[in-house]
Amino acid sequence: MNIHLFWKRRSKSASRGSIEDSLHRERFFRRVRPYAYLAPALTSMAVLSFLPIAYTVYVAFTDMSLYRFDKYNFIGFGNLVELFAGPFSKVFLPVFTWTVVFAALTTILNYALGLFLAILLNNPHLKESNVYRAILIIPWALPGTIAILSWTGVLNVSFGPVNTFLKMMGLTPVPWLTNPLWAKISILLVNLWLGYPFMMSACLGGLQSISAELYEAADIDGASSWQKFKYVTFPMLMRFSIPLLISTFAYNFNNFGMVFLLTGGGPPRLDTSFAGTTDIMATFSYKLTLQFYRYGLAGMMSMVMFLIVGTLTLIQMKLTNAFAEVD
Amino acid sequence: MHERVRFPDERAYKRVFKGSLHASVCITLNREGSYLADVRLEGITKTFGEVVAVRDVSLDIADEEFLVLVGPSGSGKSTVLRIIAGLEVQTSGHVFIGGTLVDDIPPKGRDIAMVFQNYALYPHMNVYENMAFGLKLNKVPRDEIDRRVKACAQMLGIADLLGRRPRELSGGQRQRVALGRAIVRQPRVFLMDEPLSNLDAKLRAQMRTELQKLQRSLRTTTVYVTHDQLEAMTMGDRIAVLKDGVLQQVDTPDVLYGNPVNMFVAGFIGSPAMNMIEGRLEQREQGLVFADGGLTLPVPDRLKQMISPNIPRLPYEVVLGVRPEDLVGEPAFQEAHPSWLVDCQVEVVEPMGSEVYLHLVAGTASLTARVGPHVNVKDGMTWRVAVNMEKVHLFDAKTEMNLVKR
Amino acid sequence: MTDSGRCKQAQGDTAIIREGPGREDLRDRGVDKEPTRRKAVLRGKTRLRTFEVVGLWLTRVILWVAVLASLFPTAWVVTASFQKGDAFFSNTLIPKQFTVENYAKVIRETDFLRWVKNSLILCTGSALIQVFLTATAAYGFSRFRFRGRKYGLMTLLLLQMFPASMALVAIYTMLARLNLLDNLYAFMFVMAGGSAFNIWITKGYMDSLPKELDEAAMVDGATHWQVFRYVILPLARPMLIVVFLWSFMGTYSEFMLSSAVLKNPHNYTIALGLQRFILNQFAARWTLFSAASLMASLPVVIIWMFLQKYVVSGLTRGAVKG
Ligand SMILES: Nc1ncnc2c1ncn2[C@@H]1O[C@H](COP(=O)(O)OP(=O)(O)OP(=O)(O)O)[C@@H](O)[C@H]1O
Ligand SMILES: [Mg+2]
Repeated sequence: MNIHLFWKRRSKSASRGSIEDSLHRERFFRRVRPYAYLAPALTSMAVLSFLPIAYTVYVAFTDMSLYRFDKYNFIGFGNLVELFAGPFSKVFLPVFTWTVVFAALTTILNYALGLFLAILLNNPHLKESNVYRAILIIPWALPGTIAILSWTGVLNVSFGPVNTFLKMMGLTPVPWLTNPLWAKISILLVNLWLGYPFMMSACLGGLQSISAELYEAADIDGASSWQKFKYVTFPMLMRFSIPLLISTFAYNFNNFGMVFLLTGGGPPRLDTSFAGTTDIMATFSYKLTLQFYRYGLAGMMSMVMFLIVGTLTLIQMKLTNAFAEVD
Repeated sequence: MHERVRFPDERAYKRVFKGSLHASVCITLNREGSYLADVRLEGITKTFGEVVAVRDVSLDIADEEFLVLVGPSGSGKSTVLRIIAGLEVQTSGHVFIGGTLVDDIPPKGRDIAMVFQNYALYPHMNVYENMAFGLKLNKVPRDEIDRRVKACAQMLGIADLLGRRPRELSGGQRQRVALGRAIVRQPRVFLMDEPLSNLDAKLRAQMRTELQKLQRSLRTTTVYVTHDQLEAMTMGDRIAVLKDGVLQQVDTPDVLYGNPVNMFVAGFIGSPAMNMIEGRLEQREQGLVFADGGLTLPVPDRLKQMISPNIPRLPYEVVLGVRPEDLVGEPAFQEAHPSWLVDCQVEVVEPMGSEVYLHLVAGTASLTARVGPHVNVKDGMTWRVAVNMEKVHLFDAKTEMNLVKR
Repeated sequence: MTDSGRCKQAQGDTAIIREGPGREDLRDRGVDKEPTRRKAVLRGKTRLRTFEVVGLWLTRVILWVAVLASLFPTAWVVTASFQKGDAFFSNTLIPKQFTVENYAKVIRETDFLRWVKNSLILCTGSALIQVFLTATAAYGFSRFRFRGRKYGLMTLLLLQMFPASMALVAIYTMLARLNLLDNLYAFMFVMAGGSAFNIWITKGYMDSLPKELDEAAMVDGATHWQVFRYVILPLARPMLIVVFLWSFMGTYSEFMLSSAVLKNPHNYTIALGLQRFILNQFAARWTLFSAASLMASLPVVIIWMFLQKYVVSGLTRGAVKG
């Protein structure tokens, strides 16, 4: 018993001396550990996103261009004024409008079609539902660039199969990619074709995650099909589709590839050579940067785009409480 | 002489400890030469923001003891257990395991094993891998792992389930696997957080005895959390009762039942719960009596001697506590103590098979009596019962402390 | 008492335990299957009401139209790839002559195989890096409490919305300064840059894994890294497969950055190479393009089809919990 007491006392006093040290170390690790796990991702983001963003913001307040690459001046919000009120606004404002219209319309169209198909596919009596789903999902599975490039062929005015088909039906061929209005419609259509499978899958997953008990409860309460959709399906769907809607909108707001590869921004506008009729801000700022070397303007335009998308996202995040934590 | 050999050979023992123990842990040996695994809490307090989950809990858990932590939901039982495990860091106070301060040692270094309420089996591993995981992490050699897992599975009767995934097991089987995962590690301390609460009543009763036997044979210090006082009473060497994060009483089941320190412990331990009758102690012509609106009961001399030092003045507001079995219906007893008789209205008769619970009303107080199966009472009739005043408790109405020390 | 003695005693003490499992086994196996069976029976017996039958057929017709519309462009590409000649001038939808010459030509006369190799290296590499970055960061956000946790991820998500066209200039300049232009491996890291959306959705997935598993592992003697490596990582695999796939596909068809950075035809990816076929409006080699496109897409489509169930389940689980 004495030995044991001795041990007890000794170990206590012995470790108490180093406790401070080791406690210190443990506390330090406890504080640092989370950041260690974030470090790889944060580093890569810092180099590939944050630095470029900082650079863009910096450039946005200068008049940097090819001719003033080293001797640029700070002009404050001069670029912003130029975009919305200066002579350049004639070029910019139509692009701006089309960008917003495109992003909004394409998000709504994709979501509507996706949800519609998902509801159809979710019919429990439809036994071959999985077959349809597997086929309908193919556009999503195709590499986007390749698909869009193929579409330029499909919509080709003279030999594209769409026009061939129209001719066969005795209709007049449509100038898909060469007429300003039809080019815009083409972009929306192709983007719908590419984008609906994602929405459909997401909605389907969501629909299937709604527990059957909810419907049974609604049945017992005597709800009609429409009421069930309105009070059970739709609110449950909203819970997860709002993040999807946001990201789709934001993605399409910056959907460079779609426009650049399908129309290249064309057909050309009569009033300017800077932008084409279907150019969205992403392709426009790309052209400003790489073809016209108007870095300052392009930077400011990037900031405008960011402010719009960022604000919308922030509002939506708040609305959906996506980041409410239950700690 | 009492000899403990938990590790079959010295080398394996050393390997395990080298692998698992934090450098600053010293192993304390007891007189017989095996290491100690007592757990000591010194003034543990834990706050979550504003909430004080545990307040100044000090507790000594002896080596090889089976200690049950019991208390209502939210009383901080799990928190205490998790502090011992090192999963939660206490706001103040110290934890010693085997005489060593482990405050700054992560769970990995404490050489404890824990069984969770929902078992927390790794869903992506089969039963064998689940049990072997801790040993693997501690760099126990493969053949040793194999031997131990198989022996343990044999012992728990899950040897033929080793290849299955947790989701292919029933609740009872999962429970065994969770136990097995703790046992193969041969830790110094078992920590169990309501391990039986997900089982159905019958299986729970069965596992209760099995767990007890297991602990007796392995002789590993065990801290067992439950909110079920029956589990606590049947399993624990000692029971620690928690309420709102404050330790109320720590003692053997017998003492806790027969000599609760306060109204909470008295009411919490025992089923049906102790009857509580609010009233006052008064001096009448027949001597000291307990009186509430309707009934008057004389306080016997022995009881009077026990409580008199604690009573500053008379009359004194108290609560009379009577165990259901101390409401006696036997004629012989009643004849011997005519002054303890109370006339009651029978509200409900609840036959339990071997005994009958009677729900009674006497004046303003409602009482529950536990009587033999052959008593002849029906709902609505009047029944005369004797309160065994030799065995009652008297609680201070203000402090709720028990005035009686037996 | 000897050790073996103790062991025996322990076994003797707990012998009762062994009686249990047999019966439980049976019950257990039944439990899992019964609900589905019952459902199936129910479904078979249900008689549909008339309006439900009409609705069902209406649904079918609409879905057939949708299927046709979604297959139409793909079908054209397939036919074009079997068409004789360079360009695709035709007044019919179905060509009169079929040939596999285009496929042979793509492989023999162009650098197609090199593009495939480049793309595979680039995409696999960057997707693997991306998965690593996502998994570690998601684990950090899901399992630790630290300063900046709540708003950190939100800020990252927001910053991610910043358009890439100007970032292009910055990244281009950076690579040029480091003399890493036209370097496939450097570009791999550029494409692997952490994605806040992936982190967010993976974090949501990890949040849905019970915290007790971590704690059980920790009590079992695991360090944080071992918890991550042996418990969280395997359990988050469905989500990580999704992230891998997204990242892979994203890089596979990335165009803007790669066209700026990868100038040497040796380093062309599939997307870049294919675009060369049809860059010139008047000398577009559509048939070659079609054949190459199909060869480039088919493996991706097949993999995608196999992994699609992970995508959907991972997505909903990650997003709902978010
Ligand atoms: N992580 C936490 N954050 C904030 N409060 C907590 C946390 N964990 C526990 N608490 C609070 O601490 C108190 C004690 O909780 P604890 O889980 O220890 O209770 P318990 O006795 O185990 O209850 P139960 O029988 O329901 O498991 C409760 O009030 C609880 O709300
Ligand atoms: Mg608890």
